[in-house]
Amino acid sequence: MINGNDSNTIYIDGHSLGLSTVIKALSSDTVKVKLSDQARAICSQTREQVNEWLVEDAPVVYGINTGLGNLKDTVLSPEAHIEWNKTIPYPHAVGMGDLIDPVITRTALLLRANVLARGYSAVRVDLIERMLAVFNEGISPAIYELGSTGLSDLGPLAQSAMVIAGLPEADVIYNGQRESAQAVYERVGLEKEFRLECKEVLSQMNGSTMTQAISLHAFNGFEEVLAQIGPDLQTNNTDLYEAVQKTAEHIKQTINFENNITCDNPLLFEIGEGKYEPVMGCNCSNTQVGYAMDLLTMLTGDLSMWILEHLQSSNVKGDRGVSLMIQIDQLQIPASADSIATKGNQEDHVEFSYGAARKAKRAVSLLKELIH
Amino acid sequence: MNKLDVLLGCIDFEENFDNEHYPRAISRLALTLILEESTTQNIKFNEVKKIPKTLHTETEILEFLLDDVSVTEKERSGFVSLAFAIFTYAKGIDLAKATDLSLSMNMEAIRGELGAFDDRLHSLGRPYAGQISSASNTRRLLENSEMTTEKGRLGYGYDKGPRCQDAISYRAAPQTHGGVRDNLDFLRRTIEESLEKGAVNPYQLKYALDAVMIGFADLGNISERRSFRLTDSHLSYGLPTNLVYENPGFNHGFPVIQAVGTAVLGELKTLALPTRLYGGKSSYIPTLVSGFKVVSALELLSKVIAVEVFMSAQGMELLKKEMETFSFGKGTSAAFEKLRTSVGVVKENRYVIPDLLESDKLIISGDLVAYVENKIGKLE
Repeated sequence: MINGNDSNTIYIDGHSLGLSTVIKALSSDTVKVKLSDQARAICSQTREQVNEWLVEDAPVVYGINTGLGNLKDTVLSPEAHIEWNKTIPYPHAVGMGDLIDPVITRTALLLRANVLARGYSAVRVDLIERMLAVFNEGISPAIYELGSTGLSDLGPLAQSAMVIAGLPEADVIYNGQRESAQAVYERVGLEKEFRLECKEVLSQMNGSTMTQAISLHAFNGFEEVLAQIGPDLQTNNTDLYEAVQKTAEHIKQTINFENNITCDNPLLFEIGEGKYEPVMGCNCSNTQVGYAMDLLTMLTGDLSMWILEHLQSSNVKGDRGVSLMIQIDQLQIPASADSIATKGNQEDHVEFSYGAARKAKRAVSLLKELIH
Repeated sequence: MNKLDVLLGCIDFEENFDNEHYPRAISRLALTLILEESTTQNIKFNEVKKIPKTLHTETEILEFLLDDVSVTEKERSGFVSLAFAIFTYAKGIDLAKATDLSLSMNMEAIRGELGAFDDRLHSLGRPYAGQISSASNTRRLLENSEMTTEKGRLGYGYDKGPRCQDAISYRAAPQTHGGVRDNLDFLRRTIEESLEKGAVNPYQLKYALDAVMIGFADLGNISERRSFRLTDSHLSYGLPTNLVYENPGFNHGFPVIQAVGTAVLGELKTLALPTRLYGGKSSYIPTLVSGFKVVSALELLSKVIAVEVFMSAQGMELLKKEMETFSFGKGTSAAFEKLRTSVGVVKENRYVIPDLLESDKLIISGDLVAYVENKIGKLE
């Protein structure tokens, strides 16, 4: 939401961040994003509960003050958490291929900050403000594009967490150049290193926020295509125009809804008198987003056929047009209809929403070439 | 009640599919949509013809259904596709409920943790309507279950302490089951709009049907993996390997039965390719083909769920053997009771095709869910 008094400041509270606001935040040097006062208060409260569980003699609160696996019944001290948190990003920060478009990785910072602003994750306000500070400086984490199943984007988001922490191997893209995060932070006046406290690594990684960032941009690109061909389409084929509009609206609603949910685990819920209890579950599956991205690809398929046959203004004729249409057709197999088990069968159903989003993004860019 | 609810209320749904015809309910729906009320009152719905699968266009199907009733061109547009869509929606909801049920029965078998179904995670954390509904159904089906408590887990003996979170196919079921329901809702809204307008947008209906198709494949994905877990003693948190009742080695158990579900899922998935846009401007051909596709998908998905129910019941039986005094949930007990009237436990190497066919029938007809709803109230 945009504070009425100052149109250069956008306030996030975890409940109201829409696509157009994200685009606005990205597109201007002068626009800055801050945590709303209300969200700040809620986040402080939930974090206060976590702090109470970190004192000496605190009871075992699984997933909060314990370790994982063999250490799941062992309470770790705050210091032990901080030391552990310096290492735990590494086995998760994996990926291959080329780097993700820096606009997208920067978007993910904003989206993840918004998730954490909801308060259920119980991270410190400091962490959220650190993420926003990096975002506001125009810094983009350098993140490898391949390797997430979409059941959380652990690989991409752990690479992002390394950047937030300023770990030695973390790189960023700043003004089009790839450099070490620490070097850029020093130059722009941010803290070179940022200490991640209890729960603050997992809370950055445990959701499909990179998929969300890719999806948001894929859809934004699609809207640009619709703006261009819409009038012709409406005249030539009203049914197709209306169907595409309605379905695009459904996809947009899904994206805007998913911007403002909590994908993290465990979550803290109030049980009265300022006390909270942690609940372990899931919520790292962004099922609807995967489906929406495959649906978006379907729209590009139909539109590519219409464009080739009917769009008068298109300069793309002949073989090139046919080739583009066939390539879009090749992308139609829905990624989200498939699943393969990982992690020794512990994660035995995955979304492949990340792949669905990448595919949709590719389909939209081919569609843009078709109407060039 | 809106027009869709009225239709769903007055149409009797066919129990069985057959390979040569589409379910009779689709013919009934098509006739009800196309004809004036005065005419439909004269139709004997028990005698309505089933549409043969050798008919491939709206025109062919209408000619078949309406041999001596004349209908104008305007009335023909898209209503056969809409009939397929309405049937798919109704059966899709049935199968969504059945998957919440198969999950719940499987949760009993593995003595799963209920924490992931805590309403707050869904209503507050990630409030998609379908997710909230699925979690709610699961809690109600497992109400009063002692097997899915710490006491039950420790009582069985495999777990020595609190579990380190159940596998994703259980823990994240509300999210996946919920997403599928949200796609069914997208279809529902499209159908309602068509009924209000009295006209069907061929593209819009095709997108909604193809979206539902993806959901059906995904429901199959998650259910099949849960069935798979039951064959492995480690993954099932301690059940006998292959759910063998006694005399392992001599008695084979469920591995090939489980593989039936996998094989069916493989065929279900290939249906998820979206329908291409051929046939000319505003043609209903692609829309109808999407309709054919999702109806076929319903049949296949039912079988994947049926395998999970059959196997989960075996798992529940094995628990009962060891822990006689521990209760199952209100809903899962009812399902177990109903299933056992026609599908038996597997104690030795015996012929099980009748059990598989019967389990499938109980799912696709909606009878298993209906029996449970009779006991615990309507599921969402």
